[in-house]
Amino acid sequence: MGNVFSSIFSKLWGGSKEIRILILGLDGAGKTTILYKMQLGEVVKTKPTIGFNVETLKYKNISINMWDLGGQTSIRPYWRCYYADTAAVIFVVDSTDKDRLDVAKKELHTMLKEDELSDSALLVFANKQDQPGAMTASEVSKALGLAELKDRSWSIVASSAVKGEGLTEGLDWLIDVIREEQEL
Amino acid sequence: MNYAARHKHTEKNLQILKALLKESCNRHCADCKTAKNPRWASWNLGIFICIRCSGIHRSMGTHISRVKSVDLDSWTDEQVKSMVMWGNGKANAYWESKLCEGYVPNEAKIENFIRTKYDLKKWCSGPTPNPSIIRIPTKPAVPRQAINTNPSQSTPSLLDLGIDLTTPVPRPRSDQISLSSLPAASSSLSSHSSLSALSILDNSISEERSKQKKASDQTKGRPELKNSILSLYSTSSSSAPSLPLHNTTSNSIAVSGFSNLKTNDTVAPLPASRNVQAAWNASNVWASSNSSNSSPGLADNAGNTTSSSNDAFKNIWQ
Repeated sequence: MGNVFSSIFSKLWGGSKEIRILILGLDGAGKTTILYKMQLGEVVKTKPTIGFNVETLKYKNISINMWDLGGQTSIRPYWRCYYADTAAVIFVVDSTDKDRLDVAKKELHTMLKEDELSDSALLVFANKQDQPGAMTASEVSKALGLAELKDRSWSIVASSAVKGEGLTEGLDWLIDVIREEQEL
Repeated sequence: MNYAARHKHTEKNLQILKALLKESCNRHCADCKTAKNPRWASWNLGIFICIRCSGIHRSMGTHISRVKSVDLDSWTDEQVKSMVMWGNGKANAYWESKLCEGYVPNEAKIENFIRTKYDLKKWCSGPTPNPSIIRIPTKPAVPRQAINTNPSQSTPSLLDLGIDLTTPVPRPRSDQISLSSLPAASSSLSSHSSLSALSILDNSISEERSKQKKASDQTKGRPELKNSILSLYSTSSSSAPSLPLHNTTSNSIAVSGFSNLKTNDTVAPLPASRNVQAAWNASNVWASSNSSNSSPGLADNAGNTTSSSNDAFKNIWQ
C-alpha cells in the first residue's frame, strides 16, 4: 500500500525523474531554433553551433536535458560521444533541402546502428514547413527510409520551429513513448 | 574513391578556399563588411561571410543561401568552383550594384540588410549573370602614366592562368568575353567604371581577348565559356596555343600596372598582394607549367620559382 502511494506521489509531482534527449541533424536544419523555441517559447537568432547547447526543460513532470549538437560535417563524428544514456533522439531535417536528404539519411542510419542508441526512441521533425517548397512529412519519411527501421519506436512530425508548429505534438508523442518504455 | 584519395581531394579543395580567403575582397565579411577573416561561406552565392551573418543566411532558407563552414565542412568541386567564380568582390558588384560604393550596413539592422539584399533583391541589377562577365568596380581615378609602369615592379598577376589574385582590377576572366557581344552586360558594366580611359583600355583588351578566345576555341573545341575559363588553369601548356599565351602575357603586364597603382591608391597594401602570391605559390594549387614563361614579375616577387609540371587542378574541374 505504501509502495503504491509513493508511486502515485512520484507520478503526480514528478520528483527527480530526469531524461536525456539529443537533438541531431545536418547543419542548418533548425536544431538550435527548436531547442530554444521549446525552452523559451521564442525564436532566437542563431549562429551555427560549434560544440553544443544544453538546456533543461520541465515537461509533464519530467526534467529533460536537451542536448543540441552542432551538425557540420566534421563535427558529426563527435555525436557518438553523447550517445550514452540517451532516452531519445530528435532528428531534425530541413524539408526544403532536397539535395542533402540522402546525406541526412546516411547520417541517421549510421547513428541508429550504434549499440548505445538501440533502446532510444526516434522523433523526426520534418522542419521548415513554413518555407516554400517544403516536402511533406511523408515525403521526408520516404526519403529517409524510416519504414526500414526495425525494433524502434519512431515517429515523424511536420514542424515549423519559427512558427512553433508541430513541436509540442512531437514532444508529446516522445514523452509518452519514453514513459511507456521506461515506466516513469 | 578510397579514403586516402578522398582525403587528399578534400585537402586540395580546402587549399583553394584558403587561397581565395587571402584575396583582399574576401578578407572581410561580404555582408556586414566589418568582420575580418570570415570562415563561413554561402557557396551558391559564392561569398565569404562571418559566423553571425551566416546564421542570418541560414534563416533565409536554402533556396536563397547555402551556408558552409570553410573549416568544419567538406566541400564538393561544384561548391568550390562557385566560390572561385564569384568571391565577395564580384558578388557585391552584382548584389549591391544599386548601393553607393563602400556602403557599410548598420550593425543593428544587419538581418534586415541581408534579407533585403538577397531575398527581396533590392539592390541587384537584373537576373543573376554569369559571374565571369562581372567587373569589380574600381574606386579612384587612375593617372595615365600608370599604363607605363615598369612591369617588373607590378603586382604579380595570375592573368595567364585565368586567375587574378590582386583583385580590385577587372578580373582577367571577364576579359574572355567581348563586351560588344554582350550589349546588356556592357551597359551595366560601363556604369561601374569610374574612368572612361580605363574602360576604353578594357574594351581594347577585351576585344583582343575575344579574338584570342575564338582562336583558342577553334583550337581546343570548347564552346562553353565556363569550361574554357576553367580550362585555363586545369590544362597544362601542351594544350594551350603558344601565340595567344604570349599575347596574354603582354596584356597581363599592362593590367598589372593598373592594379599596382590602384592598390596603392586604395588602402590595400602591395605587400599583401605579394603575400597572397607567395602563399599561392607555396600551396602550389594552381601552379602550372605555363607560369614559368609567362610573367616576369611573378617569380621575382614570390622569390621562388612557380614552375611545376604537376598541375594539382588536373582532376578537379573536369
